[in-house]
Amino acid sequence: MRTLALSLLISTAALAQEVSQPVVELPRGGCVATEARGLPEGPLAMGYVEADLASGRRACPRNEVGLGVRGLGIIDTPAFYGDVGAKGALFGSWAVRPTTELFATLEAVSFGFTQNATLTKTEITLGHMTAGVAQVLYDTEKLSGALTGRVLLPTSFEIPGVRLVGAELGHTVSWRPKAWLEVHGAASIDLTAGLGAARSDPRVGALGVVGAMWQPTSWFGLVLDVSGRAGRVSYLAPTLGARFRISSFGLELAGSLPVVGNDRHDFVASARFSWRF
Amino acid sequence: MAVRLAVVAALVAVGAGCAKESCLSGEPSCVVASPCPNVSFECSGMNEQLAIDTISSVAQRPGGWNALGAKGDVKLSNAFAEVVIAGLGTQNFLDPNGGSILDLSPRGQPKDVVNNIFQVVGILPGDGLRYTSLKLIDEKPERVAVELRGALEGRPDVIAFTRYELRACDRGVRVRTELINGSTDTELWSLVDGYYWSGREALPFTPGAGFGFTHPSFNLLTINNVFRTFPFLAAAGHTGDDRTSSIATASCTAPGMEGFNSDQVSAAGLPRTRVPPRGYLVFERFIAVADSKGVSGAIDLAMEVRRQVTKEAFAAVSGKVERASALALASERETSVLISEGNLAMPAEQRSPWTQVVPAADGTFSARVVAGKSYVVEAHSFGRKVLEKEFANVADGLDLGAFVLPSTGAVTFRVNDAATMQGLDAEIFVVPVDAAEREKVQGTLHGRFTSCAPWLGTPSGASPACNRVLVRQGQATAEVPLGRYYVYAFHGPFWSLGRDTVTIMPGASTVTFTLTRLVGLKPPGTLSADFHIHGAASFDSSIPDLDRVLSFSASDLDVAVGTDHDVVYDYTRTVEQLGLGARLSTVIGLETTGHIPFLFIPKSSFPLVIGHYNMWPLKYDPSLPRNGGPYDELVEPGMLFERTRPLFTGTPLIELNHPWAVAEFGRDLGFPRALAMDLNRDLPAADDGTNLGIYVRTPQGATFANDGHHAQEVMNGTDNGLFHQYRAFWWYVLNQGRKKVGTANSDSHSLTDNTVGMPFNLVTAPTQPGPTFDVNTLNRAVLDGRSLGTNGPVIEATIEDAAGMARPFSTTTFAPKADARVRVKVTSAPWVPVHEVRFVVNGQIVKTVRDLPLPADPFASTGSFVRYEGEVALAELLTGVTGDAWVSIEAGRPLLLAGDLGGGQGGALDGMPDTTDNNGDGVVNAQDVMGTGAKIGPLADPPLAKEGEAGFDFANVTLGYPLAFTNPFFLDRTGDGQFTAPGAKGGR
Repeated sequence: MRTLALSLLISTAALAQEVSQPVVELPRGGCVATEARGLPEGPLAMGYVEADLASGRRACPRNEVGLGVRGLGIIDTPAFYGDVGAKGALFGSWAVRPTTELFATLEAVSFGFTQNATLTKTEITLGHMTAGVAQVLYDTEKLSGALTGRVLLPTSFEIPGVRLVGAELGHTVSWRPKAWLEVHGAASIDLTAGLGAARSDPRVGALGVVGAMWQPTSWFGLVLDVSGRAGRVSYLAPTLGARFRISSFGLELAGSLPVVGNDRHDFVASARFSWRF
Repeated sequence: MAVRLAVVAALVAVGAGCAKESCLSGEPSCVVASPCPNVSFECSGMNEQLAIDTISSVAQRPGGWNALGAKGDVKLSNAFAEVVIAGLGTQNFLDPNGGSILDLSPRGQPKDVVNNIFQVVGILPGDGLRYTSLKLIDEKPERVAVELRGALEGRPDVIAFTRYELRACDRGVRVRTELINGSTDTELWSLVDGYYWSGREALPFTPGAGFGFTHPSFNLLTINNVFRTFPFLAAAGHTGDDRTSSIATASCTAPGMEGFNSDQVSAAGLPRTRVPPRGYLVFERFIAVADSKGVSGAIDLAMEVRRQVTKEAFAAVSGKVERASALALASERETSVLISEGNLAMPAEQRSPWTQVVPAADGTFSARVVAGKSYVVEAHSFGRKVLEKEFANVADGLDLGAFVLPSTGAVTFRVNDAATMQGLDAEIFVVPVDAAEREKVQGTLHGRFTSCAPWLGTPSGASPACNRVLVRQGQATAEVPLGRYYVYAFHGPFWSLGRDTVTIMPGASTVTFTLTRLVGLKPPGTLSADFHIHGAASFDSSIPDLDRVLSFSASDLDVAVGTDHDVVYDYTRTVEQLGLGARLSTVIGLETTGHIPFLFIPKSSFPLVIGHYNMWPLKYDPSLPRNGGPYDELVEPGMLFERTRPLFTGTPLIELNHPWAVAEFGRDLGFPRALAMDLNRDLPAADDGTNLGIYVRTPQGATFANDGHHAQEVMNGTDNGLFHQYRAFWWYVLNQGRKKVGTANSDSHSLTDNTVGMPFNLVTAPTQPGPTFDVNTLNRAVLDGRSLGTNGPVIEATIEDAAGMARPFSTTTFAPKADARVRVKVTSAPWVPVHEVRFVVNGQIVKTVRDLPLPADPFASTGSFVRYEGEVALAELLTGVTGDAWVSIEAGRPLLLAGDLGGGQGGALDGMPDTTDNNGDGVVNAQDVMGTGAKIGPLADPPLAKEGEAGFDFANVTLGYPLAFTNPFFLDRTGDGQFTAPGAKGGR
């Protein structure tokens, strides 16, 4: 387990090191064709776990900042249990080169409400933070692909006595066979572990996402993704989203529901507002 | 460079978990850290008394009314304290598998006041900790400990560890619990110790404005709103005798604990916390025990713990109470001192009580409070605050001075048998003569337990209790607050009732009664028997054995069946100790009492328990858990009966108790009500998936059906509460062809809640109380239906069979003579007025003989005791009834008209009376419903007789009304030789 963790972290670090290497010229393809648009692209930016860990990421770099909110809930009435969370996040990315992007997400406000029978508790804390890098590996007129890596930083106070860390390595691809259609996919493997007095309880997960965005106009896109995750928590979940653009501003609304697996979420939904510059 | 940095970061990140604390690693080889390392007590030369033992003999059991330790349990002891941890597999109350604290008492003292202290994280059955391994740690002379490992009930991924530890000088037990969320869900945990008080025993005490012994009421739906933070939780027993102690718990790591309190249960522990996956909680506390009657003894120790943990300084204060001619001062009934932070200018409910102390015999007292604050010291006597003083900026060593209490009367009660002038065992009832007198003497124990006028002692404890005094062999002396009272002397319903009007003045006085056995009232060949009695062995009773057994004799009971909750108990030794063995017999039994909800019924998502059942005669083995009683949780009634089968020592009798009683704290008390049975429908032949199907089904592995009990309470409690409903269910099962014998029991837990033997069963059986008593003969007679239930009236009834022979009521079916008549004779003591006689056929009252002549002198001891004697043509009673029939006779005071307005599942009509004619318009309808938003109820009892009305004195003694019923005659009218069920409509 620790070997795997090391591998993931080292790979992520190596990816970061790429940024400081001499520029490798790639064919200027699909990424350039879409670089001026504020419309979000790639897989819907919504995961089931900490911050944006284990969620697909777009292949093409861009400069962007934004605000997002994600809501998750488990309502298990027969077990008299409920857990509802809302995460208010700041996110941004910086295309340090046309082929390289640094990105980060901070759950600045993490709201949680949990109910056990008639006992309830509400909590607001600083949430999780991730930072990562994406390196475009290929970018043709219709096909773009990037290697992504990110780390989960121990910023959250959600877990009593424990700071959670983690890392993720993945690959994401975008294919534009038509101007109105983007087909995308992503695959990643991640590891999280606790830091503290208790056992670290490392958990490994793997994620696969395939989906497509139907984009009839330059200001609107409809996205359908299917995500599959394997690990302690596993699921197969369709995710439906709508994307809007006004000038350089983008809005993404999405909702997801696991249909297979042991994940107990009854709803996951998000809204992200971004400004691309 | 970046790669190297990343590698270092990774090593730090993943390797950081190597040095794990205590058992938070979850490793099998871990050792739970010693609890409360920053707490220490000093002593010298006590190391050799530190011990850890697995209990292997009865002699090793700790003493006390709540002592439960048995073979296989673990006892930690030192020179000051002993604590018993339930062995694995030993289930008690809410502890699903052992590992909880069963006993905690001062070393060598029979003063355990603990029922059960257990760990939970919430209020659901799955929120309890189930321990699956237990390790003894013997590190004498430094420490002894018990380490337990397990998980949340049914949640193996949430692992738990608890360590109980005792050091040589500890005045209590150190406890550390660790809980790790290895699941994938964010949990909400309230990691606390649950303290099961149960209502009539120890009372929780916590500091806080308006708290002390007073806590906000709640139910399972509102419990979240009553969580409070308090510096410590304390409690003491209120048995009224010397076998009591106090306990207190304080956190070893934090200034306070969070929890809730009630007379039933307390919780004290960590704040409610959201615990995401990988999170953990650690709870360290010290639970102190002290040999004190008030809570102050243990609170003094908790203050010492807090001094060491939080650096909070305390001040020891002392004082003295005085009362001229006091019989005793070292008793909570006579003096209780409450010390509250605040001042006299503040309303009492805004002050913060910090401790409560009972003085020593010489009136001196001392206690610890937080230093530097202002306090009001209140002296309470006989349930009322009689004096208060204010002390500002209290420093250590402050002398509070003398508290001179008002005088009382020392009254000697004498009760003699008129025939022999020998002293009788009897019960004295002291009743203020009017409302003004009542107001002057009404009291409580600091607002808790029942309010009494006068308050002569804790209602649930030893005599004097509430307004009652037990008289042994004709004499008892008690202090009584000054006032004017009716004083009654009671020796059961077959004796005259004595009454005197007395003005109590300061100093000594004597009140003498002479009671007369009312000859001919008790039919020959009958025994009076109460099948439902509790004593201090029950988790919800504090009445000492001596008082308990003396109360049997005071009621002139022939047979008392001990049915303590969840524990088999034997009162024989106390009977002998009191010299009552020649005329009083006790039977060993128990009342099974469901605590852990598990059963689901259709259309409901709430788990249920199966209620309460009495069983006797059983084997008493004090070396075993529950004294040999069955494990009664998590099984349906049929399987419970199966488990109990090998424990019977004679003809088994299983009784369904209070079948429609209201649930307490989410736990149903009667199986039929738990099932929300619809009495408008007939029982199915087998489990058909309905609620009724559950009632009749036979659980897998059992040979008993869930309705395999033999008898059912129809009257429960001295006030006949819920009689309408118990009777309705009994009538229903009789209509279903189930020949369940109706019984009448006091269900007494003290001198106050119910009077033993009121009501009772008058059983016609060829055996006598005393040395020759045969419980098998008694039980066979009961099983044969040869008993009636009564709190005074005696009904003798016969119906002629086909051969013209007068048959008494019994479960034996017979064919009646064509022109058979029902002959009925009702007798009663003059103080037990009988207003009417009712004839019941197949669940309907078909004839009522009203306005019977009432005795002119309730205190007469001679004259006729016959209240009704007559006969009725059976054909008249059976008009409109087809098929077989059963007939029962009732006598007593008229009942209020009652009806069914709903109350079933989803509010449906269920055939169960739930509302009385509360507006007196002669019909039961929505206009009778009271209470905001209510759709049914209340179901009221007849109003208590007022002064000048017949039954006034009866009501003063029983708080109820005269009532009796016979078991049924079962009539084979179809001539097929058997009794065919009339069905829910009663053959109409």
